[in-house]
Formats: sequence, structure tokens, C-alpha cells
Amino acid sequence: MSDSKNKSKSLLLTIVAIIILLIAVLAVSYAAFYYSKNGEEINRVSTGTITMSYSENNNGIYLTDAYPTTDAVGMALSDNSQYFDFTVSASMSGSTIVDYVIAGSKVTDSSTLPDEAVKVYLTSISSNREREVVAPTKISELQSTNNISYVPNGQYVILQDNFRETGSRSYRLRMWIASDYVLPETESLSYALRINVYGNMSA
Amino acid sequence: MDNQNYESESIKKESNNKIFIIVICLFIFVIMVIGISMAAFTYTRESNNNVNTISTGNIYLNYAENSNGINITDAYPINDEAGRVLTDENYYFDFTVEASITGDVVADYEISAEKLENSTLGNDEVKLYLEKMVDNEYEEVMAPKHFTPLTESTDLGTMAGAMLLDSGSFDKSSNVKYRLRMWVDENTVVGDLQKTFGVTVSVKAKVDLDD
Repeated sequence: MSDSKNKSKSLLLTIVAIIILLIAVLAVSYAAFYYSKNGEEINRVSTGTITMSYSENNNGIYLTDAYPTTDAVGMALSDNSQYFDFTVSASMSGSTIVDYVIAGSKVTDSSTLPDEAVKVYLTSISSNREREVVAPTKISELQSTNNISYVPNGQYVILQDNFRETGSRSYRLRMWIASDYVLPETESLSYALRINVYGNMSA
Repeated sequence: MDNQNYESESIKKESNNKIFIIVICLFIFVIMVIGISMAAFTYTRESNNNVNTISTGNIYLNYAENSNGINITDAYPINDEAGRVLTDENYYFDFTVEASITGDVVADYEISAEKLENSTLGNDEVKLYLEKMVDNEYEEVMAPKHFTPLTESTDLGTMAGAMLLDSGSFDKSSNVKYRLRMWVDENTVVGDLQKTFGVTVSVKAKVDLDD
């Protein structure tokens, strides 16, 4: 009985020894050399910043009992209710170009005059001096915004320009009835135009 | 008569004993002679030319950063065409992976970009582009690509979350010079808040010694 027990014990020890030997052999045969190095230099990209703003400095144009007017007269309209001042500003860091569009959006519910009957005239204001930016032009002759990707369709392009650095530009818009438009005798007509500004960074 | 026979047998027995003793003595003598001859005669030959030696192989790997890191401030979105050719010193990052190997082993390596935790730009708002030098000219090894983190760690040790830029192997001593570029993707919308994206480059390598 005791001999049998001793034999089993010896057999077990032998098997364990063989397994340990096998593991040792396998471990040696799978040995590998690893290398790892983390770089110290930090590679960083920081974006520039762009802000645009549009502010309206007075109430809009409000002409009543208006009649067809020559360009000379229209360009000189000076009453507070006869022009519309607004400012476009851009602030940017670094070097980039920001395109912008000043567009006119016809308020159809309030407009009974045709586009051919109304002229717009845009000037810039700097140090209280006006400089012509867009000569008197019938709205019907303005370019459509349909081909400008960052502007909604269905509006009229009054001005396309860009900022190459931080800046602020003041504009004055005048609007009158074209001198060659024949007013109907019996009814009062109107035209309403909303000014919108859209900006986009140049590609 | 009986006495004669008895004497004759006794003489014969004594004679046999003497022969046995002589044989034993001869045997001992022979053994002693052989033993002495064995002790006296040895043969030695030492080879002058053939030396059997074992010497270990040698593996040396190194990653070196050759230029300052990319440092682009006030960056605006640009397309891949413009990003590939950014040439200002701060717009690219040069580094070298080199190996010195003696013996018959192969060292596999991986290059990865690890994103800094304080990055505020999204992974799809930056592009990374890697070139390596071949015949004194840089060639594309990774086309412009958004930061694409690994979902699992690799066998060589590149951790999940890092972006694998390139992998290769050395079977002899050589080096590979790399150039990394990074820019803001053209579709990124830039606003009034500054955003940043940072990476460091790391190299992991493994040499299997069981081949």
C-alpha cells in the first residue's frame, strides 16, 4: 500500500517537473525584444478666430407719396427717413480673407411696385464723407444671389467685398422710384427691401 | 605402492598451486604494465585554426526628433492640396527611426500619433499627412487623413486611442526619415473661439527572438 502511494507521488513529481521544463523551453523560444519611445515634441495647430457683425444705425427708409426721381436727386436724399445706415464689421486673428455680400431681400408681402421701378444707391461713409460704392441701379438689374454658395437664393446682390484684416465699414443705402417708371394714376404702390449681410472665409 | 601414489599426487597438487600463483602474478604484471603504459602514453592535439565561439547579436533602435514640433497659430481651414506643401519651418515635423542590427533578426516597428488631452478641435477637423525620405526626396506614406484613433492596442504596443501613421520593419541597419504635417481641415467651421489640436509622435518596436 505504502509502496503504491510512493510510486504515485514520484510519478506526479516527474510530470510536474516535465511541465515546468516545457514551459521554460517555450518561454525561451517566444522571447522578444520590445522598444518603445514617446516623443517629446508637441505638434499643435491652433485655429484663428473670426467674428462678423452687422448693425443698423437708424430706422429704415420710409418714403411716402414718392414720385419718380432722377438719379441726381435720389443720390442726394438727405432726410433721416430717406436713407438707411448700417455697419459691417469683421474681427480676425492671423492672416485670412473674409468675403461678404450685402444683399437685398424683397419683402414680397409689402411690395407692389415691380423691381424695375426702384433704384438703389450705396455709399460708404468714412470720417463723415460719403463715397459711391454702387452707382444708382434698378433692382431688376442687380445680380441674383443664386450663384453664391453661402447666400440664400432669391435675393439681390448689392455689394460683394471682403475683409483682409480686422475692420469696420459703414454704408448708407438710398432707394427711390426710377425716373422712367410711370406710376399708375389710381393706386398707391410700395416697395420694401430688407438688407442682409453674409460672410464667408475665402478658400 | 600406496605411499608412492600418495607422494606423486601431493607433488602434482603442489605443482598446480605454483602454476596458479604464477598465472595470477603474470596477470597482475600484465595489468600493471598496461596501466603504466596507459599512464605514460597520452595523445593530445590542439586545433590552431578552428575556434568554436558563441557571441550575442546586437539590436539597437532609436527614435530621434530632428526639428521643433509643428506650431501653427491662427490657422484657418485649408484644403489637402495646400496642406501637403506647407513649407514653413513651424508647419512640419521631422523625425527619424533608426536601427542597428547584427545577426539574423527582423525588427518590426510602428509610428503613431498620440492626441493631447487638451485638444479642442474634433478628430475630423484636422488632417495629418506623413512622408518619408526615399532617395533624398520625400514620398507620401500616408495620404491626408483625419485623426483616426485605434480601437484596440496593437501587438507591438501602440495603444488604443493613438493613430497609426506608418509601420515597417528593419532586417539590417538603416534609418528612415519621416516628415509629418498637420492642418485644419477645409470643412472646419472657424468661429470666435480658438480651438487647438495637439499630438506627439511615438515609436513602438518588437523583435521576435524565436525566429
